[in-house]
Amino acid sequence: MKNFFKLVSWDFKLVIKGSNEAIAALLFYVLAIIMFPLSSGTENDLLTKIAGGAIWMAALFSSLLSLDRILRSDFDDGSLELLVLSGISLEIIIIAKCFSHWLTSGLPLVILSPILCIIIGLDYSYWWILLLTLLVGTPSLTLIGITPAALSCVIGKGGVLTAMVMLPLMLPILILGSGAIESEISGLGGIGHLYALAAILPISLLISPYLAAKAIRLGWE
Amino acid sequence: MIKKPLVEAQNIFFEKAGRAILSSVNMTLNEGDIVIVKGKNGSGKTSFLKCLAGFYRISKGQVLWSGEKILPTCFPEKKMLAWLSHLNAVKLSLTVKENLLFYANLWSVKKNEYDYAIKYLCFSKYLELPVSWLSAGEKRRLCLARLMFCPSKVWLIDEPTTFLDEENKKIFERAMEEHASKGGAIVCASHDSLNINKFKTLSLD
Repeated sequence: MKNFFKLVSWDFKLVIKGSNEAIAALLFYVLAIIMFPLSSGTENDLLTKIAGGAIWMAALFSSLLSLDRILRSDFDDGSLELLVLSGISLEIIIIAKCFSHWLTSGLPLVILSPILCIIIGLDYSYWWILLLTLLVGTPSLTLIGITPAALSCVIGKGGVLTAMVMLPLMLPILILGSGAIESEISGLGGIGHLYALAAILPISLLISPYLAAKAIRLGWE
Repeated sequence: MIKKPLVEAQNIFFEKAGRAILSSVNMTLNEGDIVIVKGKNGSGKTSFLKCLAGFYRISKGQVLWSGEKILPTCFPEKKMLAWLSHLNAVKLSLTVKENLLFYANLWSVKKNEYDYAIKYLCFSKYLELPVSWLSAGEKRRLCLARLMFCPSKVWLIDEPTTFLDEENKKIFERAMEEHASKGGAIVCASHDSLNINKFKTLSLD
């Protein structure tokens, strides 16, 4: 368990002192959300209806951008080999990487969401449902995306191909997330969607690291 | 009671993409042994090390660690070996000290062992530098320092003396001898000729 937190703090330090890839994805998210109301006019009714979906779409694409870097650099420079031989299971290493990725890509999304709520024109009384769906949904996005990211290590290049593989897998989260906000606005209550979102998290936590570890081992052979 | 050998490779065969790379290779490694794996380029020196560690799956034969079929990559209960590959697993955006301290912390290395390794390889003056400023040889010495304070008996090292100058090569040869004399064991793949006291040669040609 202590090794898990050592790995997480190491990854965190790498992201902060490393290149600005993490900031790039975050910046993309913020810019996309700021541009959205500017480009679609100022009709409040229309914006309120679509805002939930737009924020979730921006969150999805921002995840796609930043997921590539998690495993690739460690795989390419041999750090992953050394970590596995240090007595830490590969699955735990992958979960640690997902956690640190969420701390640097998912959590900022969650924290920024109330402010962006105002910017995009979503009615401010619904900020809590947006925050909750992002809080529950972004870890699942990271976890689901780690398997295609590990597969891209095997192939040796990522980019568009990995994004195309990740996108269909992440669709349920997108639909549930934006659906929750929409149901809340229309008065039906988004709690059902939240439950479904919350169910995806433990399932992806169990399955995805195991598959990603298999992919990495395949990449080593 | 006869002590089991630390690592044993029994008649292993390995093929990659249909090409037979290792055929009928045998090796026994006891405490205090230094085995130098020699061979032409492409003869399978790196593949042999990876088969021993468990990264590659052998098609025939078996690899035993302390008499058991538990390979280091597949059963990470405890640290079984120190690994040095041709890839330097160092992070360019951090300093030398941060890189070394991470692994020292991860492997629970005592401070005096860590200091000893750094002093032995004369690496103290590099500690505060970012790794991106180091030359290829200096990065390699970083990896050797990390190898030295690694708390395992078995060293599997792949071309450790690449990029090293004469002086540093001699220092590392002494380090290898010291490790073996303290009860460790080394399997070293190298096509450089190493000047060590007693070693066994495994030729893969």
